[in-house]
Amino acid sequence: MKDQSASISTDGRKMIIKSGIRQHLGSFAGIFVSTLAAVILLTGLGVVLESGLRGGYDPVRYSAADVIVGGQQSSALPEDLAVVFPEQAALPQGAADSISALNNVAKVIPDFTIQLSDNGAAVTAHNWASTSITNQNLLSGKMPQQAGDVVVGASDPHAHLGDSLVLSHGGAPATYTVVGTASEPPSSSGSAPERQVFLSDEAAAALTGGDHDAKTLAVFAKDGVSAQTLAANIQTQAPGVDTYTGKDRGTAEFLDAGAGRGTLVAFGSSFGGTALLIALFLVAAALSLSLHQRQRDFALLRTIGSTPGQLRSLILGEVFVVSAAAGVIGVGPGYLLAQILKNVFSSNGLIPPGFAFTFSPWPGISAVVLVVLTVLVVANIVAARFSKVSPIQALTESSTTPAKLGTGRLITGIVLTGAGLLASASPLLLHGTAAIAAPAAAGLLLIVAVGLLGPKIAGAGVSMFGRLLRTSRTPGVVLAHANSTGNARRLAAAVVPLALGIGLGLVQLGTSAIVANEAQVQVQDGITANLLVTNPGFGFSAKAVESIKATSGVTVLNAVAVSGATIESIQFGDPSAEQYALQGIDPLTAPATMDLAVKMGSLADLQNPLTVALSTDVAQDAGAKLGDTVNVRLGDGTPIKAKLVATYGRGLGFGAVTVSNDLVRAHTNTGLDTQVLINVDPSKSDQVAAGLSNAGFVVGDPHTAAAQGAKTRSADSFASSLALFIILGYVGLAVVNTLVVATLERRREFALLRLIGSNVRQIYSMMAIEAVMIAILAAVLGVAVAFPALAGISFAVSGQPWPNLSSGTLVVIGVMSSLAVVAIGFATTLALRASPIAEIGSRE
Amino acid sequence: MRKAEHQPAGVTGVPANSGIALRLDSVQKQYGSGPATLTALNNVSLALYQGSFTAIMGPSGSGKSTLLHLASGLDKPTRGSVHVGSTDISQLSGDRLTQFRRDHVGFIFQAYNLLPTLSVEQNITLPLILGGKSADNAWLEYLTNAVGIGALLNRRPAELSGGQQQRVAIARALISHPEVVFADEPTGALDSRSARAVLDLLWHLARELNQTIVMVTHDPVVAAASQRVIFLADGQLAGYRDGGTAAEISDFMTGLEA
Ligand SMILES: Nc1ncnc2c1ncn2[C@@H]1O[C@H](COP(=O)(O)OP(=O)(O)OP(=O)(O)O)[C@@H](O)[C@H]1O
Ligand SMILES: [Mg+2]
Repeated sequence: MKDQSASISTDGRKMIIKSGIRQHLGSFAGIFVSTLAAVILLTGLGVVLESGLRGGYDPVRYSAADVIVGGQQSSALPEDLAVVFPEQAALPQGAADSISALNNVAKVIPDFTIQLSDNGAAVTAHNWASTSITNQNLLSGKMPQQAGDVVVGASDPHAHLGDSLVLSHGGAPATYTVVGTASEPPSSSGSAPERQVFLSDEAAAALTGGDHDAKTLAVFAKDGVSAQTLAANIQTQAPGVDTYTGKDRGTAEFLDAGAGRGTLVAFGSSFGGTALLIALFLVAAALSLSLHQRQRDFALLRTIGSTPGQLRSLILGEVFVVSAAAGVIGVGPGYLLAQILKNVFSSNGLIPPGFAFTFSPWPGISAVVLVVLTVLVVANIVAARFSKVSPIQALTESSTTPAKLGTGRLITGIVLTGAGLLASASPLLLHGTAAIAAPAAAGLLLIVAVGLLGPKIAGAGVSMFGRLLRTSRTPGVVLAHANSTGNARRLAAAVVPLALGIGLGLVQLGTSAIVANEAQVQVQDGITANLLVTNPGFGFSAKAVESIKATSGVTVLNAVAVSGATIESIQFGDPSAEQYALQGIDPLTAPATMDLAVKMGSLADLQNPLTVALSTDVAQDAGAKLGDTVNVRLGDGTPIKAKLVATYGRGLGFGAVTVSNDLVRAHTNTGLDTQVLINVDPSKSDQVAAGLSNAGFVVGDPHTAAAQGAKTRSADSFASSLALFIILGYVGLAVVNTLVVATLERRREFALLRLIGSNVRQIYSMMAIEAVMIAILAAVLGVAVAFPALAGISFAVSGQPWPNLSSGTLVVIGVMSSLAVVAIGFATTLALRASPIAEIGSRE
Repeated sequence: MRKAEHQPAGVTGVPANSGIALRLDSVQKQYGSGPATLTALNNVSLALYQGSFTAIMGPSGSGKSTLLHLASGLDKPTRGSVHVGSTDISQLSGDRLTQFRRDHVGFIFQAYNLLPTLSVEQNITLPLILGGKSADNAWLEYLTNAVGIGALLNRRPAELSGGQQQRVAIARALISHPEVVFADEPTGALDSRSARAVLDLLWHLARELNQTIVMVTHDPVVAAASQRVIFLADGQLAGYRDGGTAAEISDFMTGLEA
């Protein structure tokens, strides 16, 4: 006897699993949908991650060169991701010469790329020598030799041989003579063709930032020498350079893709993790709902002699079949999602147009394996609870019993809640960027805690609502009250995922909204100049700045250059590198035009060489006090040891690192200023503004200035909003599915009600009340989860505990909670479609 | 008070002074259309007096449940009319029909009579709740004591035995003083002992309250206790018998099934 009951034959098990799935399609739909969506998401995010690591550009202008040589573009840190410099790195001194001297090199051609403008329209200028990289020929006239010579494309719509052409560099116009025309450049597939002109090599070099040397060399190998051999040769012969061969040459050609790569890697990895976490909770919720509905079947199996172990393996078998099927189906749409993400990314400038994604089978395979394994682990835990139930207990345990949580789960939940609250409060003690990081992590802790304690909390919420509804005599209310108090588990299954979605959404959107808002406030309060002058897209050359300074009526001028800096320090014994927004100011005129809220030291000291000012937060992170030496890498990665001469409060608005204007410009691609702040003689204010507008500049109210510190975040914040949108979509889908399934399961209840004499309106109103209750509980719980973290972040950023949130957060709350109402309404309509006697009648 | 109103009537025979509680005139019910049309009930006419206790018997598939559904307004006849009291319910539809049923018809199903999240008391008063009326407490107390569940009012259906659940269903069917109570094999899901107890209860209550009851049953002993047994075969009336013994009824049934 014992032997027989100890194992069900494999065939028998398969049969039971198959029929189990067939009979409970409805309740498996929840697991199927959440697994499917998780695989789609993770496959898509996996492709994004892999593309960040391996995707990129096919070379266009550099496609004929064997090896492209550039400066070292990143600083690799041990045990850390490489920091990629925002500006193009300089080549080491004499690199071009030592590469030319290699005996397998045929030729070395320097390449310059300069942004010019013709009446406000962009024109890209290259040095004439670069035509031999791109195989462009002179079609008429002669090549440019003098500083004022220019060669235009043969089909240039605005300029012809012999014309004079006014091109501006950084807002300073210069007149050129068209001395020749050249053939068309190689065409790139993705991006729109740009208007191209050629200057003499000397003229091009003179317009380049820094020390006027080329930062990119195109190297051609002698016949019979492979690009790889040559690259290896160059690496040994000219140390301190990066070499690019094959497809990789595109990386050198489109350096701005570097930032895009970082975004892709961050996007793929961080949201992949979140998606998996959410999937875990959603599958757990769907599974316990499904198993709960089948308790009687399990009890029957237990009565006829299956052991808990057998039951558990049955459940796992079913879950495996369902989730594996969902996983396999999800892979295709996952790659489609990646394609869609790619389009969204490039149309929003997160990756430059033409950036190619890598589509390998690995993201799909790993997504299926990862998700199915996760689902099985969750199923194992959930199934344990159901399979151990004694046969009698299962038969008598009604659907009305309150949700019971295991002690382990309860304790973990409580500990996480405590940890989350503590971390939220940490800005009261901590300062610096850690003060933002801790509450942000707290948000996640609290969300996980709610995932664990959710059924209990939702149950409590429901009974609170019940007390409010109890006194009513309206039929819909009486029924809704009975249903919610009697079946808190059903409500919790919907409330918890919705609350998680709302909480996650609020923390993510709220954090970026708080930071962006504070940055804007800092700029508004911090710019004291009379006028703000900008030249969008083209910047200001030194010449242009001089001409503004010379304008009659301008009393004070502060030209500001913007880039990115890396601060290297030792954190907890390990070297660390953090990137921040960098601004270069005129140390002498800055105090009259901007108020950085200097806490210690003086900005005027920035006129001394090798000095830096830091925001108080960053100084604290770097552990630097006034007079200490700080290791700073400028935009192009050039390391300097700078003395800390001032600390200030408005780092979010203006950039956390400030040095003198000259120092910033010497280490950027363009060598141009970004904006100019001026004070004017009040009587000549209008006159100055009109004059500058005529010169093609944009003159504005200083308070409209964009916050520099927040600028680098805006791309990130778009990416995280997008990810959030996707994840909330996932949560929404799963919740709608759960609610639809749970509502459809109530067909018999609806039928009985109608047979007893309830009309359809009363059933709708009962369901509407339940739906609204779910929506309100989810909103309240979601806000409760997010609020401590947001208050902590707000306190850390702005000193105000009450977070200043964007309207987006309200949209998240509204949309997520109304999902409950829509899903229940839809499912109720479906459930009421069949005639009640057909549903119940007296035949069963 | 109530007891005075509901004087127990004679056990057999139809009170001469009472009116018609239910009347079916040439009722036909067809399912499906075209060549697949199935006539579940054909040209059935009958009238039942107020306070009568009628059993309906017939082979499986003969149309007993269909007859009950049409008579109670749960479904509509394809042809013919149905009167409950003086109301032609085949003319009612939508909310008017629902409301009529709520106030004038009681129904006891074989199983799944109760809403799992409602308490016993709420389940019993559900027709009143749905009608926005409040329960007459004396009547509720009388009914629940009469069916023997007075002590279980705050329990939920899952905490009751099958027999207790059917008693709750009986109380609910009676709570609104309906014109007719219909019961479709109300004890079909119970073992024979509790079945007999529940049926006894229903029968005695009906007599005590002068309640019109129409019940489908397969049990000749139960049928023998009713005043009239109506036999159905192939969707048509196949005869009736007043005051027959269980053995006679059983014989008649065997004849029908052959
Ligand atoms: N909704 C329906 N659609 C089609 N045919 C139906 C439907 N309901 C019942 N029938 C058919 O009508 C006939 C009568 O069914 P009904 O349920 O009234 O039988 P019954 O006498 O109650 O049988 P039982 O004793 O088995 O309950 C049967 O042939 C049945 O198949
Ligand atoms: Mg039947």
